[in-house]
Amino acid sequence: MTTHGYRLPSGGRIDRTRTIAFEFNGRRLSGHPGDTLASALMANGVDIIGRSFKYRRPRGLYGAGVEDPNSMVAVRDAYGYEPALRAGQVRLGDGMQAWSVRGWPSAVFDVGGGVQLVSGLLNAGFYYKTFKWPSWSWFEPWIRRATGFGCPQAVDENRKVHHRHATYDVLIVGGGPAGLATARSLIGSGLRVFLAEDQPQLGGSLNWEAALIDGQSGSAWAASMARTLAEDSHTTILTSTTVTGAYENDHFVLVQSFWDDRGVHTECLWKLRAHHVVLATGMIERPLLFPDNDRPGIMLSGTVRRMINEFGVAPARRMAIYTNNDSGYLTALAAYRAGMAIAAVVDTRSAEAAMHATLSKEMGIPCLFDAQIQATAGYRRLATITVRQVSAVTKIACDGLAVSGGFSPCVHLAGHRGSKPVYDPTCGAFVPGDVPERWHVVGGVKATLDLSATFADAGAVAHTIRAGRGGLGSAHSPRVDVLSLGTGAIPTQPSVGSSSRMWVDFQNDVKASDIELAAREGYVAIEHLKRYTTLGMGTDQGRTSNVVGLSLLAALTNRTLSEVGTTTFRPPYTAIRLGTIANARRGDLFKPRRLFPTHGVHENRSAVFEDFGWERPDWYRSNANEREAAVALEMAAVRNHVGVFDASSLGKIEVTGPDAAKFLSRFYVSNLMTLKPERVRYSVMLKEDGVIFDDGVVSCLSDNHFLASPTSGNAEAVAAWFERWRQTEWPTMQVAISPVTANWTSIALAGPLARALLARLQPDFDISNDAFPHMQIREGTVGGVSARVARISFTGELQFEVSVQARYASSLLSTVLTAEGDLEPRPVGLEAWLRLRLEKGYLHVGSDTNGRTTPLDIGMGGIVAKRQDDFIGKRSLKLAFATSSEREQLVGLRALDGSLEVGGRILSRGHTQVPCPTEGYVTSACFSPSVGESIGLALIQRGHTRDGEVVKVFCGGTPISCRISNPIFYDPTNQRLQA
Amino acid sequence: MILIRCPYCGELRTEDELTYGGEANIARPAETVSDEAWTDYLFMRTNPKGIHQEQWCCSAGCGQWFKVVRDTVSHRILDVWKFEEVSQAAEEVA
Amino acid sequence: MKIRQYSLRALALCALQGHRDWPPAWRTPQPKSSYDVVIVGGGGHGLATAFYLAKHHGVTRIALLEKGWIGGGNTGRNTTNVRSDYLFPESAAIYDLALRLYEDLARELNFNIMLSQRGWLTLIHNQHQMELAAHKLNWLKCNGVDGEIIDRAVVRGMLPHFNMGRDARNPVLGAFLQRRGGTIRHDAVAWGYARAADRLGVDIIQNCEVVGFEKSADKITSVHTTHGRIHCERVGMAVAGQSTALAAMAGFRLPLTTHTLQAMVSEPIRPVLNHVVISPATGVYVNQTQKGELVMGGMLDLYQSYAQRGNFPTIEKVLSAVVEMFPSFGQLRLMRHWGGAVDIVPDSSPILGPTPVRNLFINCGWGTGGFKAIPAGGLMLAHSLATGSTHPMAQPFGLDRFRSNRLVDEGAAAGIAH
Repeated sequence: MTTHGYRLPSGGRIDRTRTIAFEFNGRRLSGHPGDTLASALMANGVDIIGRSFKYRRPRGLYGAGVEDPNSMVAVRDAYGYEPALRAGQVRLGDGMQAWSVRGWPSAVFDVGGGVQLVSGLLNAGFYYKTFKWPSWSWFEPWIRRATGFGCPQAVDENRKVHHRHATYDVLIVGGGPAGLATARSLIGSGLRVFLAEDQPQLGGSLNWEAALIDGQSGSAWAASMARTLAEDSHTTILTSTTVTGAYENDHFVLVQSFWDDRGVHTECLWKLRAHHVVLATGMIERPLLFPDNDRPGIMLSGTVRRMINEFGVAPARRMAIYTNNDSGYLTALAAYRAGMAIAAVVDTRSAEAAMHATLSKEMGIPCLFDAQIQATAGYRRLATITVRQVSAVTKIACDGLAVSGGFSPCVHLAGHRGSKPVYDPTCGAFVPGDVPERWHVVGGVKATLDLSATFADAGAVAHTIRAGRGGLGSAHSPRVDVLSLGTGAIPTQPSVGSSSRMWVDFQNDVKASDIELAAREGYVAIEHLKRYTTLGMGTDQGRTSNVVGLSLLAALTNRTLSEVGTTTFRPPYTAIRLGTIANARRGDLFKPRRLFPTHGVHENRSAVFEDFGWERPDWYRSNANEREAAVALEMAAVRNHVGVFDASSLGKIEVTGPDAAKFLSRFYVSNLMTLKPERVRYSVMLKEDGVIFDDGVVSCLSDNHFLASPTSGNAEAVAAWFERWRQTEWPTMQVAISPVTANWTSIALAGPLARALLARLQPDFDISNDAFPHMQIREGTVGGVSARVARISFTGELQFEVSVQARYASSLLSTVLTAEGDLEPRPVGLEAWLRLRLEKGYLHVGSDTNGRTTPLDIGMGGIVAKRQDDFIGKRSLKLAFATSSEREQLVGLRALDGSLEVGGRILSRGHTQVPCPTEGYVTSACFSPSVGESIGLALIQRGHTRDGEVVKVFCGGTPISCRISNPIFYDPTNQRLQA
Repeated sequence: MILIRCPYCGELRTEDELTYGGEANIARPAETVSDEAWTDYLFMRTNPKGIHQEQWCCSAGCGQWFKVVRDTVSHRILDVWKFEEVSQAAEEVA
Repeated sequence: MKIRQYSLRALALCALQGHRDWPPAWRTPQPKSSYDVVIVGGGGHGLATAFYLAKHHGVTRIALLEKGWIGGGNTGRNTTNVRSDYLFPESAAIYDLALRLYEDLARELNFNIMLSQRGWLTLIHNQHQMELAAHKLNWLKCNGVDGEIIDRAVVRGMLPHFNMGRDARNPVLGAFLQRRGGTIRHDAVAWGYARAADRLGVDIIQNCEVVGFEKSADKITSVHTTHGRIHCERVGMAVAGQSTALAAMAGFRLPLTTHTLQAMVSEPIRPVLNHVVISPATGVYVNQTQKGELVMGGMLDLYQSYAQRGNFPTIEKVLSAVVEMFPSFGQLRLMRHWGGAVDIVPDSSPILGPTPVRNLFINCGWGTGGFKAIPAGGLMLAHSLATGSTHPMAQPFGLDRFRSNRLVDEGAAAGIAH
C-alpha cells in the first residue's frame, strides 16, 4: 500500500486545525474532525479497503455513503465494536480502529483472490448445478468458511441505547434542499414539524454541489436555514438520524446516532407517528457498465465532488470522467477547480447533447463524445482506461475515474408501504407511484434535478399541508443560481467489451454475464433474477446496482423497464444494530421476574427457586442439601406431621353479583347453582371445543359472592376469559369479575397436625372437624388479621389454606414456620407438593391433560351427564371423536419392574420393542414413599376399561411392565383428609 | 402497526396494548344444533382478504371489548364501536 | 448443443463456451385449452405435486397455474428450516417422509437444493420442558424418528456465542437435538421441482391468475384464468395464503384464518452459528445462511392479516430475544425484514385430500410449517389427483376431521409453534 497525501490544501468542511489519530489494519493514520472514515482513508491514499464476496476482487471506495457496496470495515471506537460498516457511514473518531473484513492475510494481498482463476465456473447459480454428489454436506463447510463480513466479538459495550416515542403533524424525511425548503415554508403554520437528516449536518447535496442560493453558497444557505428552523419552536430537527422504516397507520422507525470525538456513544430508536409525510430523500447515482469497472480508483461521479468539496480530499491525482449525462461535467469542473489534472471526460452521448461540455472545453479539458470505455487496466489501482469511439481507440492514463450513469431516486420508504415505483422514461428513473395518503414527494426523489424546480415543488407541498390548517404561514422561494445536474439519463447499455468482465453488483460479484445467463435460463421475473444471481442481496441492498441490472434484463428480454419492475423494497432502509432494537431488554428486564410477597422468608430458608411464571420454591436447602433428600423430607413432613406450602400464585378471582352462580356455572362442568355459602366445590372448565382448559375449586362466600381459584399458570387467562364472555356474550348478566390473585397470599398447612398448627394462629372461628369439615371455607380472623381459610386438599392430608392480605404474608409465613413445640412445621416446595398430589391421584392440568383431553377422559363423565343446562364446551362432548375408542383416558400406573418416567410411551398390545405403535403416555410419575412403588398417571387409549391390565412402557431403555390401576394410590377412602 | 382508538376510554392504542379476539358477530348456537352447525361455529371463519369485522380488547387500558371494521391488507381501521352500538360502516359492508 | 444435465463436468464444458449453452430451466408455454389436471399454485407444494404426478403416476397433461412468479409466496419467504421431530405419529409420518424425500431430492431433481443437516436444537429451559423433551424423545423413537437430548455442556460447545451466564433470563438445562434437521436453500426447491416437472412435460404458466371455476353438478369442468378458460378433469389447489378465496370461488369453506408470519435477516457475517436454534421460552428461532446472514423469526402476528409485510412490534420481540440468547449478536445489523401470509388451522395441522367439490383436491393449512413438508405435501396431493382417493398417510388430515373434532393438535401437545 502506498501512502501519499491526497488531502487538498484547502476546502471542505473539515476542521483542519485539529488532527485525529486512527488505525486502519494496524497502520496509524490521521484525519480531521469532520472526516468520515472513507474520506480519511482516501486522504491517506488507501486504495484497497476490502475484497468482494465471491471472486475476492480488490475493492476501493465507490460511494461516499450507505450506497457504497465496497468499503465494508470492522470498527472499534471508544464505545463499542461494529463488525461491519461502510466506511462512508463512520464519522472519524479519535483512537478509532478499523479493519478490512475480507481478504487473507490482508485485503491488499489476498490469497483467496486466486479464486478468480476459476471464475468461469463460478457464474450465477453454479452451486445449484453441482456439489450434489456425494452430498452438499461435503462442500458446505468450505463454502461457508468463505462467506460473510466481519464477526461479532465478545467485548464490553459502553454504547447507550434508548427508545423514544413521538407524534408530529409533519415528518420531513431528508434535510437537503427539498426538505429544508419545505420545512422553511411550514414555519408559522402552527404545525409541529419533525425533520430527520441522516448526515451529521443539514444541506444534503448543497454541502458538495456548487450552487448560489439567495446570493450565498449552498452550504451557507443550508446553515442559515438550519438556524432559522432551530429558532422555530414548532420545528424539531434531528441530524445523524435515518428514517429506516415506514409502517402502516403513519408509523415510522428512526435511528439517531449521537457522536463525540471518540465515536458513537448513544443510539436512539424513535417510534414516530406523523400525519403528513414529506419524502425529500433525494437520489443515489447509478454506475455505468464497462469492462473491469470495479478497479480501485473507479468511483461514482458525485462521490468525487463530495470528496473534494465536503472533505477536501482529491480522490486521484489524474482524474477521468465517464458519463452519460451532464453531471459528469460538474465533476470535471470541481476536480479542475481543486487543482487536479483532468485526463478526459468520456461521454456516451453526442457533442450536441452535452449541455455543459463547452465549459469544460474552455478550461482545456478534453471531451470525447460518442465514446465508451472498452477496457481499464491497473493492478491495485486504476492506471489507464481505453476509450473507443467510432473512428478511434484512445488509451488514457489516469488513476481515478468518476462514473455517472444517471440517478436513482430513494423511493424506499414509499416502497415499505407497498407503493410500487413507476418508471419515468424521460428521466430514466423509477419514481414513487401512488404514495399513501398524506404523503408528499419533493425534489430528487421524484427525479427533479433542477434546484429551482425543487424549491417551487417544496413551496407547493408546504401549501397543500398548510391548507389543512387554514393556510397559515407563507411560502419561501429562494432564488437559485446554479449549474443544474442536467436532465438525468436513461440507463445506457454498453456495446463494447465482454459482459463477463462487467460488474453490476460489486459486493456480490454479479456480472453482466450472470444476468445474461439468468435470462437465458428463464429467471426473468425480477425476483427470480435477484435470487438466482444474488443481485442486490448484499449489505448495500443494491442501491447502486439494481436499476443497472434490471435495465440489462429488460434489454435482454425485450421488455421495458416498466414491464420488468423492481424488486420489493423492505425495511430497514439502512441496517439497524440488533442491540439498538433490543434496547435494555436483557436479563431480568427481558422478562421481569415475579416474586412472592414472601420471597424473603423463602430465601431465609434457602429455597431453591424455579420460574413458573412466579419464582416459586422448588425445594428447600434448609431441609436437606440435596434435592431428592429434601423432597423426601418435605413429603414425610406432610404425611406424618405438618408441612407449609406457599400457594400464593394460585389464581383468585372474585365473582360477585346476583348472577354470579349462574355465570360461573356456564364455565365449569359442575353445577355451581347448588353451591351453598361456606362450601367449596372442585371442577374443571373447558374451551368450546370440549378440551379441558383449567381446573380448581370455586368457593361460595355468600349468595352473591364467589371465589374461583384457577391454576397458577392460568390465573390471568381465566380472569380474561370470564371477562370476555361477560362483555361479549352475556352483557345483561349482573356480575362483576375481580382478579385478586396478587392481593392475597395463601399459605397451605397440610398434614395430620395442620389443625393444631392453625390453632396456634388463634382463629376466631371453630376449626374442629365437625364445625369445619372438608371442602368448606371460612372468613374470620387468623393471627390477628382478617383471613379466608379454605379446608381443601391437594395432598390427600388434612389441609387448610390460609389467605391473608399480601402485606401480612411474610409475617404469617414466618409465624407459621417458627411455631414452637412438637409441631416442627417444615417448608414444602413445589416438587414435593406435586408428588404428594400424584400419590393421591389428583389432576395437574397441563401435565395430565393435553390439547385433546376432555372431562370424559378424566372420569368426570358422570358429572357431565348430570348437567341439564348448557356450559362452555358441552356441545363438543357429543361430537363423534369425544367417545371414540381412540381416546386416551387418565388412569394410574404401577411399575412392576423398573421405574416410571414422565413421557414414557405405552406400547400397543403385543409390542415390546420400538419403533412400534403406541397408545398413550405417562403424564406424571415418581417413586411414592407412601406406596413404596414407582407410580404414575397415564393417558391410555380406552384406559378406563383396562383396569388391572399389564402394559409395556417405553421410557428410553428396555420397556418396563406396569399395571393399570386406579389413579388414587394413597388413602382411596379419603379418611385422612376428612380427619 | 395496528392503531385503534378505544371507544370506551377514548385512548389511541397500539397493537402492543390490544388483544385480538377474532371475527365478530359469530353467534353461539344452542346446545341442540346439529354437529355441522356446531363445528361451523367452532372452526369456520370468513377470513376475508379486505374488510373484516372483528373483536378487540383494550387489554392494557380499560379492559373493554369492542368491535372494529378493519382492512386485513392495509390494516386501516374503518370503524370502531361498542358492543351495545351499531356500526354504520359494518352495515354498509354487510 | 444444449446441455440439459447439471454436473460439474457440464459446468466446466459450458464455461468454455461462455455459458451460452444452458437451456431455460423451464419453458414459458401458453396454456392449452384443456388438461387432465390443473394445479393452482406455483409454490413448493404445487410444483412438487406437478412433479410427482408426472413422475409417479404418468400423468402428462398437467398445467400448473401461478398468479405471480413460481416460488414467490411462502416458499420464497420462509426461514428455510426443516425437521421432522413431531409428536403425533400421523404428523411424524408425514414430516419425516418429507425430510427423507428432501434428503435425496438434489439427486432426484438434478438440482442442488443445498440441504444442510446441521442439527435442529430446541432449547430446554426448565424441568417441565425437560419432561416434555423426554416425552418427545420416547415418542419419536416409537415413531422411528431420530432425536436426542443433550445436556447443558454439549449445548455450550455447540453454541459458543450463547449466553450461559447467570444473567441469562432463561437458563438452559439442555436441548432437544434432531441431527437430521437443518436448512435448505428455499428458492432452489421451487426451481428444482419446476425444472424437473417441466422436463416431464408439465406446463408451468406464470402470471396466470385463476379468476373462477365453471362447475357442473358438484364437479369443476373448467378453470377461468386471466389467460382464458382451461378445461380439466381434476383440479389440485395448493395456494397458502389464498386458500379461503380460492375455496370460496369453488363454493366451499375452509376452517382457517390467514395471518402474517414475519422473518428477518442480519447482514452477512462469518460463520458463528452452525445449527438451527429455537427457544420455547420466546418462540424465537435463529439460523445462519450459507451466505452468512442470520435468519430469525418468531411467533405469528396474532391478528388476521394478508399484508405480507413486517411490523415493528414483532421485530422488537424477536430481536430482543435473539440478543438475550446471543448477547454479541447485538453488534449485528438487521438488514431486511418481511412477512408472509400463512393459513392457520385450529389444530395447526394441514388439510389434505378431498373437498366438497368432487374433482377438486386440496393441500393447505400448513400454518408456519409448510416449507419443511413440501415433498410430502406434493406427494399426497399428487396421489389424490391421480387416483381420486386419499393417500393413507393423508387420511388423518382430511377436511372431515373438523366435523368429528378429531384434531391433530401438535401445538397443544408440544407447547411449541411449528
